[in-house]
Amino acid sequence: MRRPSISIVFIYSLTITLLAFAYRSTWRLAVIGLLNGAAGIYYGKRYRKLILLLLALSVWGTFLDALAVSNTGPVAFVLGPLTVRRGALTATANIGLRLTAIAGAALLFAAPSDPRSIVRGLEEELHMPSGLAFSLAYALRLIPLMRRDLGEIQLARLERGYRKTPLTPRDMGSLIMPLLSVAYERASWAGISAELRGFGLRKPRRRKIRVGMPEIIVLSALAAQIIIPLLLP
Amino acid sequence: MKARYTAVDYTMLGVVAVVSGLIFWATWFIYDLGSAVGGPVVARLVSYGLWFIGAPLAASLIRKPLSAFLGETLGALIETIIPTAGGFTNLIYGLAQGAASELAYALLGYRRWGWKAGALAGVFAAFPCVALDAVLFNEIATAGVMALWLAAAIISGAIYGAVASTASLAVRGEER
Repeated sequence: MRRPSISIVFIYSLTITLLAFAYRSTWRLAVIGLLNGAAGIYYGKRYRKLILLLLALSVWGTFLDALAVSNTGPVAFVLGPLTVRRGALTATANIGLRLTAIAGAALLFAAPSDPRSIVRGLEEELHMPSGLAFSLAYALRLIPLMRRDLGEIQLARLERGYRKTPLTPRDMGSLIMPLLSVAYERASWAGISAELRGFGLRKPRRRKIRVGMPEIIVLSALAAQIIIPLLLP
Repeated sequence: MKARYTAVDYTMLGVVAVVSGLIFWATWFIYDLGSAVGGPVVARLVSYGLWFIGAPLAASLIRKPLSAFLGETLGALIETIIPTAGGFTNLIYGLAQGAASELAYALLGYRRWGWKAGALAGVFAAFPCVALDAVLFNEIATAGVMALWLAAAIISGAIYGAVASTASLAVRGEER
């Protein structure tokens, strides 16, 4: 079966993000958090470790925030001098589930497709202004080029007797400034080149959103995640 | 003030989008580490301004109306595509912070693009950011604590906004 249309997955992910903020009860958040978290981790293999690490750090940070802000209600447990109350645990669970739903939805959107087809889908199906689509496409093209530039700058630093990885602000400056300067120079010429080739006259391609079986499955999953939580307390 | 964007402006926006998108991505680690080690105030102080730098970077480079808004928003979109744990929340924050920073440049009549304007853009972005934290993540505390969080975000925004504008000026060869 083919992949669902980028714009439908975009709408799905955006709606899940909004639902994650609309739902306030732990049960409702658990439905969308667990579903999207599991699906996102399954489909987003490339980013799995990174997202899990970020989620773990976020939940820990949220717990510390909750101790400062929501540590109310009956005592849940005592850890040395620290009294943890149910309010802090509930707030941590709610925000953890909310973040899991959001991260899972983002993985479902970003991981199965390559960035270039995402930009093309946003421009052709969701009618993103062509200039902005051009900026995004250029930005994505720039990532590997900047990675190569970074390698060359690091090599030049090593040959001059400096450390490869920046540690001090001065190091950071001497690494970032040439990187930005090269990117700026390259962007100037790329822009001039595009303008001379008739950038202003370019007509963006538009196409209708396809609605087949994959799209119906995605929209049904979205509808279920709107209806089922409403039946819960 | 010319508002028409050329291909050169769009490629500059692309540079800002990728640079700020990567910085936004890395800032998640800085925020989480700051939060885990020093709590909410330290986390906001060391990281929030980094999430506002798309606007001053773009505005100082492109110098046209809407450049601050577009720089911040496209950076957030790149951060969403990369992706991070924030997912589409990044885009919501990016739109709000970009609009606030744009307001700073609009109030200056789109005539000042130096480090002071960058710092002001960072200061303005702190308000919707802290408001969205409260609305979206229930980060609501007593008035004193909220004021402390806002102050940390403002200081962070001012510092990183000034640094971002200075870097843009240096890249344009207008270091002063």
